[in-house]
Amino acid sequence: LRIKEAYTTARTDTRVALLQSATGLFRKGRSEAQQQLTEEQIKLYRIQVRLEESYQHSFTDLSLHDTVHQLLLSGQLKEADKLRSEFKIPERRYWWLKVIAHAEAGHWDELVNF
Amino acid sequence: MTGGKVDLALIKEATRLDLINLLDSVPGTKAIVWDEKLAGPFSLVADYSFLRTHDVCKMFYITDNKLPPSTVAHIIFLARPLTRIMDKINQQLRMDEVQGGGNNNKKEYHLWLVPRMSLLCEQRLEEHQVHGSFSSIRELPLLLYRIESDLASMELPMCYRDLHLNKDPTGLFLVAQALMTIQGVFGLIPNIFGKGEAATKVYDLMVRLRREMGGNEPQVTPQIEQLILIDRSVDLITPLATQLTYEGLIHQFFTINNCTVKLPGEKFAKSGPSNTSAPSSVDFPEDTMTPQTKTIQLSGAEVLHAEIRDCNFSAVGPKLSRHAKSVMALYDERHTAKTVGELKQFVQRMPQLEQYKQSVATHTTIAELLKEKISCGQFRPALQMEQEFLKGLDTDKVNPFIEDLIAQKEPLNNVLRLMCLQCAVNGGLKPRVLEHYRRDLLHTYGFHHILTLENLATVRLLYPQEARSTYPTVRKTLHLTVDDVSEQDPNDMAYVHSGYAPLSCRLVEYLAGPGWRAITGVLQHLPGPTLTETQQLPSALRQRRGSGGSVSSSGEGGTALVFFIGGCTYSEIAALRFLSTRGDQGGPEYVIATTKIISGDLFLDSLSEQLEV
Repeated sequence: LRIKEAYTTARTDTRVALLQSATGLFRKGRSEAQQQLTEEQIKLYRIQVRLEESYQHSFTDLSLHDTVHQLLLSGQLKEADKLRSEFKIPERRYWWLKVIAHAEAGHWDELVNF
Repeated sequence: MTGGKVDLALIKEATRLDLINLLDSVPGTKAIVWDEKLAGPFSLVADYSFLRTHDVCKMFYITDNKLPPSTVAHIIFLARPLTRIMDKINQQLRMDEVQGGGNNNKKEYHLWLVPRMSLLCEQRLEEHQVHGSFSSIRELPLLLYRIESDLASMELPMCYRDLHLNKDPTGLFLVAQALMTIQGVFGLIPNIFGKGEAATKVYDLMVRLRREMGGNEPQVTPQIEQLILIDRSVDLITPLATQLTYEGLIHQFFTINNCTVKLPGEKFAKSGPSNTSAPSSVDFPEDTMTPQTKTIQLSGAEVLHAEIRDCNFSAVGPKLSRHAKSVMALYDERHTAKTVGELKQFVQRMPQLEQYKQSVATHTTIAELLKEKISCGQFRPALQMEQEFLKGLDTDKVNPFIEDLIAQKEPLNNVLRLMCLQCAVNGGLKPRVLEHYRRDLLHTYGFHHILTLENLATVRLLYPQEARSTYPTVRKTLHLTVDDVSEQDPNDMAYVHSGYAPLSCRLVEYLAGPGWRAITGVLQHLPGPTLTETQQLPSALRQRRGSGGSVSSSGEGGTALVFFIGGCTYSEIAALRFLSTRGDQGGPEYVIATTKIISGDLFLDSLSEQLEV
C-alpha cells in the first residue's frame, strides 16, 4: 500500500491534491471502500473551507463529527442538517450528537422540542 | 521431580556480569549517557549505587542539549541501535568536543549498543564523520530483563508491530538469542513445543545458532524440561479482553513500567514520603517525578502484593480488609503483652509491622483508585458486551453498543478494542458491517485514523470475513468460557477474565494434560503451524531423561518455560501461575518470558499510526 505516503505527506493545502491522487491509486488498487472514504474526506475539506469563510471559525482538521458538533454549538442547525444528509449520518448517531451538543450549549428549548 | 524451582534471577546475574566486564574494560572514572528508554529496564539489572562501585560517577540522558561539563575520563553512550538516536549522540558529542578542546584532560568516548550493533548506525555515524571519535564501539547483549523470579521480559514493545506489520524479523532473531542465553544458564531444553509461524521461525533460528556454536555448548544439566513458544497471532483475543486481575487492572489503567507504576499523587498525600514499601532499586538522579504523581514499586518480593496481584479484582477487597484487620490485631498485642520479654519481642517486630502496615495502606489506596475507574463511565457496560462477544452472541451484526460508544466519542482505543474483539471472535466481520464501522470511526474521530485501520487490517485484527468462524469450535473444545467460575476462590484459570480463559494458556494447559495430540482439530483451526521438536542432549547429560524422544511423557512435574512472542498480558501470567500452583496434580511449574508485558490499549497503540494533525 504505497498510498500511505500520500497521507503522511498530506499537510495543509496540498492535502486535497494529494488525497485526490490517493483516490486514483485506490481506484487502481480496486479497493472501492477506501476510495469512497477518501472522496468523502475531500468533500468534507471543501465544505469546511466554505464554512470557515462564512462563519469565521476554524473548521479544518476537525472530523465530521466535530464539525457537526461545532455547528450545533453555534446554533447553525441548518448547516448541520445539510451535512447530515450529505454524509448520510445514521439517525442514531445524529441523535446522540444533538443531545450532547444542545446540552453543552444550553439550548434547553431545543432539547424540549425533541 | 527435578527438585528446586528455576529462578530467573540467574539470568539477572548473567547479564550483570556482562555489564561489569564491559565497565571494567574501561579504566578510570566514567559518565554514562543514557538512552532514556533504556534507563528504566536497566534499573532492573543494576541500580545506581551498584554502578557507582564501578567508577560510574555521572549519569545523563541523551537529549538535544549540551552535556553538562564534567571531569570524567570516559564518556559512555548507552543506546539502542536506532539512527535517530545516533543523530542525537552526534550532536552531543560534537558540542562536548568543542567544549573540552581547551582543557588538557583528554576524554575518551565510547558507544555501547544494546542489544546489538547495527550496520546502519555505524554508517550513520560515519556520515556524520564522528565514527572515529569513539575509542570503542561495542555491543552489550542484554536481552532479557528479569521482572519477577518467574517472569522475564525483553522490553521490546514494538515487537508485534515489527513482525506482522513491517515484516521485520529482527525481533525473532533477538528472541532466539535470548533463548540461547537462557539455555546457556539453565542448560539445553529437551522438549520444544510451539504454535504459530513466529514460533517455528524462532525454532529454526535456534537450531542455526546452535550449529554456529559448534561443540562449545555449555555443559549444564538441563533444568527446564519444556519450552513452549506461543506466537501472539495465535491468540489475539486475550490481549483485547479486559484483564480483571489486580495487577492486570493496574497495568490497564496506569501502565506498569519496569515494575513501577505512576499514580495520581493526591491520594497518597497523607501516607508520608517513604511509602515505597518494597526494597527500592530505582534511584536515578534525574528521576522525573512531578509532585502530581507518585511512583510505586510493585514487586513479588512484597508479600502482600504477591498474594493479591493475581487475584480477580473482586477478591482483592476482602483480602485487603482481612490484612488490615490482622495489622490491627498485631498492634493490639502490645496491650496484652505483660512480661518484659513479651514487650521486647513486640518491639523487635515493630519495623516489620510498620512495613506491613504501610503496604496494606498503599494497596488499599491503589484498590480505591481502581474502583473509581471501574465504576465510572463505560467500564461495566463495555465489560458486559465483551463477555457476550466471548460467548459468541450476536457477533455478526453491527453492534448498537459500539455505535453508541462512537457517537459519544469514547476513547478510540476502547472502541477499537471491542471492535477487534468482535472481529476476532467472528472470524472477520461481514464486509457490510466492517464498512459501517469504518465510516463511523472516520467520521467521528477524523480521517487520519484510516492508516490505523489499514494497519489493523494487515495484522488481521479488523478484516472482512472470508470463511466461517472457527471460534465456536475452538471455544467448545477448549472450554474457553466457563459460566460458574468462583472469583474469590478460583478453581479454573478462567477467573482472570471473570469467565473467559486465555486461549494461549488453555493451550499450555492441554499440553500438560492430555497432550496436543488430543486437540489436533482445534490446533488446525488456529493460524500457523504447530511445532513439536526435541533437542538431543549431549550424551554426558542424557542419563536423567532416558529417551528425549517421547513427547507426551513430559507431563509429570518439572519446569516449563513459556515464551510469548509478541507480548503477553498480566492475566495470562496470572493464569499460568494458577496452573503452577496446581503442580501437585502433576502439571509442571511454569516460568514465563515474553517480549513485553502488554495490555489491550498498549497493544493497539503499538499498531496505530500516530500523525500529528
